[in-house]
Amino acid sequence: MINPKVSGKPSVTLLVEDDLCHAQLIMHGLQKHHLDNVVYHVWDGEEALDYLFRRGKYVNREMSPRPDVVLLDLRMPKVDGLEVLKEVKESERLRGIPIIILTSSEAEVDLAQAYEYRANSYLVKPLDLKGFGQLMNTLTGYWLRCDHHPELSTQNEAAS
Amino acid sequence: MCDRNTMNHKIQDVINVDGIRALLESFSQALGIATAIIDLDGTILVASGWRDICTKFHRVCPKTAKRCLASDTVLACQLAKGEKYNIYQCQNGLVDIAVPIVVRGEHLGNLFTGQLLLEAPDRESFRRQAAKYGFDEDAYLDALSRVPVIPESEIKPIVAFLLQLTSLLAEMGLSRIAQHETTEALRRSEEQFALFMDASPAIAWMEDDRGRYVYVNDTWKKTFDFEQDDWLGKAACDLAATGIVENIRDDDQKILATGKPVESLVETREEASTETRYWHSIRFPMESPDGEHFVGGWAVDVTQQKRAEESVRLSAAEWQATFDAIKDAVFLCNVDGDLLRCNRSAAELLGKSPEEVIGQKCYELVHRTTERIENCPVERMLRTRQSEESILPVGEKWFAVTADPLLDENGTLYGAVHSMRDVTARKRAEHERETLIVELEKKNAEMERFNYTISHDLKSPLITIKGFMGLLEEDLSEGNMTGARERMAHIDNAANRMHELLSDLLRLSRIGRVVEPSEDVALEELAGEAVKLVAGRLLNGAIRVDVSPELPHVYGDRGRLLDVLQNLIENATKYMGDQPDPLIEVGARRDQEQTVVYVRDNGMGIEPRYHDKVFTLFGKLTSGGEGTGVGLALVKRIIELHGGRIWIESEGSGRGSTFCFVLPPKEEAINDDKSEGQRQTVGDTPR
Repeated sequence: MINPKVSGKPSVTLLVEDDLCHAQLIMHGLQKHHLDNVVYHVWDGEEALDYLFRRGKYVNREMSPRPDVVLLDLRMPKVDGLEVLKEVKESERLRGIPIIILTSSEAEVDLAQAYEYRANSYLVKPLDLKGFGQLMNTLTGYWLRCDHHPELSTQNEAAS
Repeated sequence: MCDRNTMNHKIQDVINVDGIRALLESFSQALGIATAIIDLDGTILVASGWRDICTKFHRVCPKTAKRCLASDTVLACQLAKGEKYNIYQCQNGLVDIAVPIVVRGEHLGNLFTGQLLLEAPDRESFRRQAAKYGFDEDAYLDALSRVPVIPESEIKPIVAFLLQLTSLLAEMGLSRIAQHETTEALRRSEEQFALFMDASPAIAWMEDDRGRYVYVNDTWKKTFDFEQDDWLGKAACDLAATGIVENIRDDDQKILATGKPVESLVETREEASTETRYWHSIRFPMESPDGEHFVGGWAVDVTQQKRAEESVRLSAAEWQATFDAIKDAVFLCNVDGDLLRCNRSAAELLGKSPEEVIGQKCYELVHRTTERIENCPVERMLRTRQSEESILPVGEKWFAVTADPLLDENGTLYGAVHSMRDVTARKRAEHERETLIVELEKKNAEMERFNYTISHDLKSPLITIKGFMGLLEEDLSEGNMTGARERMAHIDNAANRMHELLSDLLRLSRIGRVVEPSEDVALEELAGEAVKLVAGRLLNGAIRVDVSPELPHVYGDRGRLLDVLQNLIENATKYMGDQPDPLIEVGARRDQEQTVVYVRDNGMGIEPRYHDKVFTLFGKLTSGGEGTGVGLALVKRIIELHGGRIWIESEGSGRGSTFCFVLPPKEEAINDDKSEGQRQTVGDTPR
């Protein structure tokens, strides 16, 4: 599902989330606060890797613009979030992209593993709608407006 | 002074002086001449019939007395030169005759006679002598007139008599000396004998032919506490205090009868004493010169030795008993590996008697090789001279083997104490423990994963419910009833999902806890039941299920195996995809001696790389959709609990899936303890 919201120079967010309802909650939060944000949603880790490495149906660059930030769920069918994280951070081309783990898991082992694989942030899904809104606001506010990270594509420089 | 033959005898010792005195007094009275016996020191022992001229004048006035003594001595000295007798005129003018008393060549003294004159005296010269020494002349001359005058011719028979007398005296003296010497020798000999006997550490005694003690030594008396001679003449049996056992009498009779000595160990026990004393005794016959018969005896107290021997014997027996009581096999061998001795356990380990083992090489017997075992602790100990230990396999068993040095009194290594303890059971237990630990670690990891997935997967629908409550509220406030219905559907869905998850988890947890006894299960019948249970999912026959009549009988927990088939069939119904003619087959095939049971579908299939993932808890390959990801984890768990194996055969997307499993045959079912089969192997001994 692709939900572009164009305003000025949109930043690109890749949402990797297998749960439709959770995806809706996240989108709701993003849309409410950040209209200049384009969100690409993929359903599992395999699809996320296809997108990021431009494979399969994402071979075309137009279909898979380089994201400014990736919101990554951990537990997903087929390839899970940690594997996606690992492969992205091992890739020279992709490792500069901030990867934010957004999961319902509060397990110590997940947190440790995520940071070991060099996740940029680890967020736990909040238990209500308001919480989602606030979290998304803070998140994009920080990662899309404040944070500087390498290999930003030229058209996004002005926005940051 | 003249030479003196200084022997031990004194004249009074060898001659009965009193007897002689009476004889000489009679002689003097008869002949009217004086006699005397004077020893070589000049001591007058006998004097009779002495003349006044001597006793009242010459031997009174110191000057003349001095001349008397000088005369006596001169006379004696001349006799000492071997004269038989001597007649001489004394310095005071009288004539004396001396005869020596010689006993066994020893000149002991002299017999004197004299104080006489051979012819009428020259009165004038005596008068002058009286004047010179201040004697009363008249009295002196009167005394002179009473001096007998005996002509020389008459002197001879007197001398002859005296010679015979001295000769007799000498004979008497000789026999007296001889008697004295014999007595002395006897006394000494007896004293020496007594000293010797009394100093002897052995008790010694003599009995007469009726068993009465005639002699016992001091040691005997001290031993049996006799201070007086109350033992004398009593028989051993009368002397209860000695506690001598009365078999001795018989022996004594035998000794007297045969004339042969008897050597024996005799026990004595004193009255009111529990302590037995042991004697090494030798008894022998004796015959006195006058034909009397005695039994002599010597006995040495050997109680200490006896006790020491007993203690040695006892400690040897104790040592052997202890050695044999040790359950480890213990060998003693020399440095060449020759076995010196072994305990019972060791003999039993080798299946031989201890006698057969001794002298053999340890490595030949134990390891059945002619080469020494290089890493054997014995070999190492021979190099290090210290206790060595190893755990070594021998045949199918394991032994804790130790070797300790055997040193002689000089500290020279001469052998080894070599022990072997069967540690097979311990080894096996260790192995089992390690296996259990690995299993437990696996289980723990699984448990951790389980907890973590549960917390995650249960939380997911909760997030949805709470989040969508928020969206619902927004919709309601906006009056968006279509949206609200949609939100509520999602909330309901999430709640159902939680319920489904919880019930699946409950089923899963039951598998580990509830174990029914295994039984023979006809799978065809079981598959039929499973199909009935999932009938609701078969879309009124739109999905066909074929159950093969070839399905085998298996051995296991019927209820759990029903779960397996039910879950596999249910799983197949869930992933039919867009298959227009869905078919599920339950069947079996032979594959490498095993019967493989399978549930095959013609649904969406699974890519090979995800085959393992589907069996993990909550491991799903699709987002959303049906199922909780518990079913296949549960199936795998049941199969593994039965000791079986499960896997997937699928060529990938759209090509259908086959879930296959094998279960072990009844005789290999996991309830059997496989290790129990191998008992009583080499060297095992019943204990």
